[in-house]
Amino acid sequence: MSINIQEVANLWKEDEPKYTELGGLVAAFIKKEIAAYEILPEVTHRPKELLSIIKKIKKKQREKQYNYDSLNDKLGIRIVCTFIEDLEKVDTFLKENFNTKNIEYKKEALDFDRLDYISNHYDASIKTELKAFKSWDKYKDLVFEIQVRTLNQHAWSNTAHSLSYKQEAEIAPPLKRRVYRLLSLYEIADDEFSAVNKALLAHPDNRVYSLLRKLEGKIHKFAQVDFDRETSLYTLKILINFLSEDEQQQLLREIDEFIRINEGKIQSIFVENQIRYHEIPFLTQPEIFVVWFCLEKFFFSIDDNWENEFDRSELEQIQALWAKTIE
Amino acid sequence: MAKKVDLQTISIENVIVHDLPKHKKGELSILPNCSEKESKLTDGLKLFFKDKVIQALASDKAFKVSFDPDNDSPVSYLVTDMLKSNCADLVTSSTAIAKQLFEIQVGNNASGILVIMFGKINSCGICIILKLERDQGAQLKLDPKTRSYNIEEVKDLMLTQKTKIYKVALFVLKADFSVKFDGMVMDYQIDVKAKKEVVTFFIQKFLGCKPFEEPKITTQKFYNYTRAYIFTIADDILKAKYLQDLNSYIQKNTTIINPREFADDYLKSSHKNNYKNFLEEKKFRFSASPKDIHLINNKIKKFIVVFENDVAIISNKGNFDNKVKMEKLDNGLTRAVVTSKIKKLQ
Repeated sequence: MSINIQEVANLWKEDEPKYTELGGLVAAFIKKEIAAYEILPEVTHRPKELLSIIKKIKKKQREKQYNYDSLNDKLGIRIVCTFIEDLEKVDTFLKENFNTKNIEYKKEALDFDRLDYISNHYDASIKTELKAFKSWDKYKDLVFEIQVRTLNQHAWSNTAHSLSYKQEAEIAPPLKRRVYRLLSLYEIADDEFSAVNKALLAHPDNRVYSLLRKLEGKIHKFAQVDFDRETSLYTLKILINFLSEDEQQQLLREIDEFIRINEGKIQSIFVENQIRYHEIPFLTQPEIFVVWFCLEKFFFSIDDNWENEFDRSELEQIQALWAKTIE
Repeated sequence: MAKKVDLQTISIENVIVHDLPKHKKGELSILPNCSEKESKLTDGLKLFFKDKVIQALASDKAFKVSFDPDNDSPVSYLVTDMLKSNCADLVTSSTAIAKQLFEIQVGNNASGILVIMFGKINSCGICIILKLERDQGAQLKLDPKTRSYNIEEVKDLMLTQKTKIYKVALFVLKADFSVKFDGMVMDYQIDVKAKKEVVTFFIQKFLGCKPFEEPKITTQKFYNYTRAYIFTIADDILKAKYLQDLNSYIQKNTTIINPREFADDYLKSSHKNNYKNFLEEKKFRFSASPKDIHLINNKIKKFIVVFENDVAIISNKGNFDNKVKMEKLDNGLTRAVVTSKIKKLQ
């Protein structure tokens, strides 16, 4: 079977703008909606280059019947997560929000004594019944590939690519062994980061850290931006010191429930004030939840001490956002 | 389910600005400079004014009001018409409100800017009246083309502190929210520490309002709820001190009661938070209100401590703390020492 390169080039010339537009649409949707899962992964999109398309068709044609239409990765969406447990959240998200098929969990396909590139791959198309895609019916049949990996898997994949790891045949066994030894470290790193993350979340001694780990997902969810960790640690340390021992314990115990109960209110504050995050940077930091919680439960602990460390107008602004009901 | 007057859901939709120059009574040559059109609002400006309104109404100088049927001010029906018509004619109704303020103002009132806004809370109409007092140099320019003031300039004046003391009123239609009050007002001229009147010129003469609840009822509630909170404290000696403090606070020569002030002046830090939460659970606002001790007069004159051995100490005037030294003993009993001359035995 041969490939008509000109025909493929013509087809791709016509299709590429569609896939580019679809890529932007899908990536923006994922970035916005996945925040609800309290993660803020890096989401990128890229249409395939003509050369790659032709090479892939030629390669596949050596194995089976394959043509331009068989190609399911003309558009690639890549989601890079911080922790390995995030992959599960992304999996749920993708299955809920896209038509998915040919799902490959590469790790599951590997034997216990094998090391290889591991990530999750999905062939997907948009669900036009979703509000965000309702007016994009024209793209409902376009299939694209979503790759989901951790930062370590991503690093490995990129490095291995530049070491031409995929062309295994050309690598001498001792060198190949060195590459595989490295790969095992990446996999161990993922597991270790995950274990440390879980341990820190449950760490009872460092309240500032525990609090920050509890809240960082929430700020991703509501503000949909990343925050400054140094500022958070500095501010939380001060805020915690405003509180008595009992109040600190209550804060750690009840902050999750407080956010859950007030979810609607919190959501509308963030949506309404998104246009002025730059005017209220505090709103994009996880410690905002602590201040709101304390204003409700331990008003004086915050109010009496605030001016020793911060600007009074900042507290007034935060209070105004957390406006109350006149009863 | 009845809608709530949830300030967080305020959205400001229309705004108009009127400029009221300083003038003497009967001085006919000076007239208010009223806009003939609404000002344009950006999303940023809407949020700015929303913040300012909420901050004002969250202060301890804010309280709920009702329109006083015995008051001559036309503001009540102008506001009610505006709300009932869903702001059909903001220019006309706001101009009438501005003229009312201009007419009742006399020379000692600073020149002012009146900002009248229409908006929504939980989809129901609200009217907000904001009065700013401005410095002499802080002049607004009426755009000759649009015949309106630029609201951005008002924001700039507020940010550069060229406007002083502002007053805010927010009105709703009672039926929309199934509430009994007409609105809430805040006047920065109410100086809680200086013990000035809570009901000011702005609130009474201009808006034609009175406190929603009779001061004697509010004062009685404050007294009863505060006592109830004090009785939740386990330490008997501290409890006795706080009760005496409450009596002293109520009997102070002032025209207001303010739980925030009571907490700041008398309660330990550890009790302040609980006291505030306790009052909020009782739906009692943590802010200043006019004081009237009529209903509690008999209760606050005397302070009585009754011991389990049937001995009682009665103090008729304040400063119980200075007259009776109470001390907790290791065995759980309390020792009370009175050092004075015996005045009477019966």
